[in-house]
Amino acid sequence: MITDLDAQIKKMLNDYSGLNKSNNELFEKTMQDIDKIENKEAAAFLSQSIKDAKNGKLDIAGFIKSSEKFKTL
Amino acid sequence: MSDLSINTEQKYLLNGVQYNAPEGWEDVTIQAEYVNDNIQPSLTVSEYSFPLEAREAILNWFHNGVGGFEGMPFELILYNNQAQQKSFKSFLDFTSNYQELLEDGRVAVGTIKEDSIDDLHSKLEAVTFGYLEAIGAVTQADYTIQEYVVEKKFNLLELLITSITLYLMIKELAEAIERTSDAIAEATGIAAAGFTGTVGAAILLVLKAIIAIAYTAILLISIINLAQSLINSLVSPIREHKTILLRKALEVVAAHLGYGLIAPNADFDFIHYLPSNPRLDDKTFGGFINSTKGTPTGIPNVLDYGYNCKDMFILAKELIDGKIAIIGNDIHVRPKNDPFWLQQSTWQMPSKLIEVKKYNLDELKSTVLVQFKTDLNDSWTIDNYKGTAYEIKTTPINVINPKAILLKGLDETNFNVALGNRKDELNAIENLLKSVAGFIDGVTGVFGGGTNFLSQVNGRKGTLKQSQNWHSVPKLIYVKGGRLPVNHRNLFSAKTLYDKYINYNSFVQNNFGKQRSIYTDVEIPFGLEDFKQLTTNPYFLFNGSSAKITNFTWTTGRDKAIISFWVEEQYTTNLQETFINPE
Repeated sequence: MITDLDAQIKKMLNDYSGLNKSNNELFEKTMQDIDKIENKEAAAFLSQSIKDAKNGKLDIAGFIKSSEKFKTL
Repeated sequence: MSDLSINTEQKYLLNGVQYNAPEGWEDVTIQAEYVNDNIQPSLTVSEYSFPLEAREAILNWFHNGVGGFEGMPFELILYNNQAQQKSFKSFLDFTSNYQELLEDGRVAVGTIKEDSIDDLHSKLEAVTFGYLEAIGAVTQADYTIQEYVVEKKFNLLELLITSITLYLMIKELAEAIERTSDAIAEATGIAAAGFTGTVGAAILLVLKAIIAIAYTAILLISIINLAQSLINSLVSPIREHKTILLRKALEVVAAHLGYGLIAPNADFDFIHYLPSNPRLDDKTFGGFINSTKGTPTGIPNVLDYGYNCKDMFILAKELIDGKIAIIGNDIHVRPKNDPFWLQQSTWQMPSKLIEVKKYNLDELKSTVLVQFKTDLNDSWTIDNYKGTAYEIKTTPINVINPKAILLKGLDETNFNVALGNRKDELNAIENLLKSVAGFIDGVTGVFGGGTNFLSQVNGRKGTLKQSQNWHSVPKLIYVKGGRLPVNHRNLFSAKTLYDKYINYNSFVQNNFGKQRSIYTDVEIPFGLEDFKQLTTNPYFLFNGSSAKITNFTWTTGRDKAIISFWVEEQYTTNLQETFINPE
C-alpha cells in the first residue's frame, strides 16, 4: 500500500511540477501581451490581475465582474 | 625512606598550638586499606587520648567554638637531629567515637587525614546536583543542547493508519481539483461571451490566460497546503534536551569542594549525561503536538543515578575502570592503566626476607559482564542492543579433568545508565514525505518566501532517537559537533570500554598483566615519609616488577609497619578468553 501511495504522490508531483513550469511560461507570455494593449486602464487592471492569479490571490468572480466594462472596447 | 622516622622526636599541635604527646602515643596505630584497588587508602586511626591542657583546648573547641561538626586541626610533626621535619596534617574527627572521660580528666577522639580519599567520598556523598543548582554552582550555561526526535519502532498498524490518512488527503485534493475545474470552466464561459472590438479581443485572450494561471495557482497552493499538513502531522519535530558534559559535571562538583579536576581522558570531552525525562508533550485537542518538552536541565533528576555527586564520580570512574586520588589541590580521575600512576611512585621497599608467597587466583572470575541499562520506556535501547553489554569468558586451554576446573564466579560492572541511539536513516513514511518536501521547497521558491521542508526531513539524521518523549533511565550520549557520529557505538559501548580500559583486569591480555603474587603481613621499618608517599601512591617496584601495597598498619611510635602487597608475576599461560557481544 505504501509503495502505491509513493508512486501516486510522485506522479502527482511530477504532473504539477510540469504544470507549474508551463504556468510560469504562460505568465511571461501573457505579461508581454498585456504590454501591447493600448488602453492603459485595461492594461493596468490585467497586469494586477495576472499577478494576483499567479500568487493564488485572484478573486475570479470579482475579476469577471470588473472585466465587464472592457467588453466593448 | 624510613630513615627519617628512626630516632625521631614528635610534636603534637592542636589548632596550631603545641601540647604534650597524647597518652599512649607510642602505641597509636594507623591502618590503611586500599579498597577496590584504590590509589589512596581508607584510613583508620586508633583513638588519641588527650589529658590536661590539650583536653581543655579540645573541650573549648567542641563547646564554645564552631562546635563538633568541624574537625579541629591536629598536626603531628616528626623531626630529627638532621633538622628534617615532616608533618601529618589531620583533623580531630568528633563524629568518630568522641568521648569525654569525666573521671579520668581526658578526652578520647579519632582523627581523619586532611585531603584523604575517605574525606572526599564523605563530602561527595553529602552533595547533590539539586543542591548545586539551588546555590548557583551549576547553571544553564553549564548545559549543552542535544537535538532528538521521537520515533516509534516500526508498527504495522500505525503505518497502515498513516497510509489511509494519506490516501484520504489525496482523494480530498483530487475532489478539490475537480470542483475548481468546474468553477473555472464556468468562469471562462462567462468571460468569453460578449467581448467585441479589436482591443476587446486582445483583452479576451489575456483574460483566458489569467484564468488558466489562477486555476493552476489554486491547485499548486492546495497541494502545498496538503504537503505542509502531511509534514507537520506525520513528521514529529526536532526537539531539544538539555545535557551536561561528563567532564563539566565532575568539574562543577570538584570546584564546589575546593579542588580542581584533572581527568586527561579524552572520552570525557564527548560523553554527555542526559537525565531522565518524566515530561510529556503538550498536545492540542486534536492530538497534535502543541509544544515539545525535553529535559529542562542537564543535571540528574532526584531518582536518577548520578544525582548524588558521589555516584557521578563512581560512574566516571567505572566507565574508564579508573582510580580517584587527591594530589595537591586536584582530584585526579584516571584509568588504572594510565602510566601516570607508576610514574608518580617513588617509594622503595626496604630489603626484607619474605617467608610466604601466595597468588591471586581467587581474583579471576570465570565470567566478566560489562553492561549499560536498557529503558523499557525507550524501546530503541532494547532494539539496538549491540554495545549495551559485553561478556568475557575465561577458560583453560588444556584440561585434564573438566570436573576439577577451579574457574568460577561472575564479575559484573553495571553502569546504571543507558546508551543513546542515533537516527541513522529515514523511515518509510519520512522517505514518502521527502519527495513531497522537495517539491514544496521548489514551488514555494517560485512563490517567494521559500520553505525548507526537505532539510526538515533530512536534518533528522544524526540526532538522538527515542521511541517516546518520556524516558525513565538517564543516558550517556557520545556527541561530536552536536550530533551522534555514525560510528558512535564503536566509539562508546561496553565492548569499547572493555577494550580500552577494563581489560586491565584480564588474566590473559596485557601480557597476562593481572596475574600477581601476593605477600601479606610483612613487617618493615616505617616512618612518616613512608606514610606520606604510600597514602599518595601505593605503587612501587619490587625486584624490577610493578607492585602495589594493598594495606598496612603503622605503629607510629615504634617506627614499624606491617604491610601487604602484590607483585605482577605471570604464573600460567593456560588460559584463553571468549568474547560475546550480544545483539
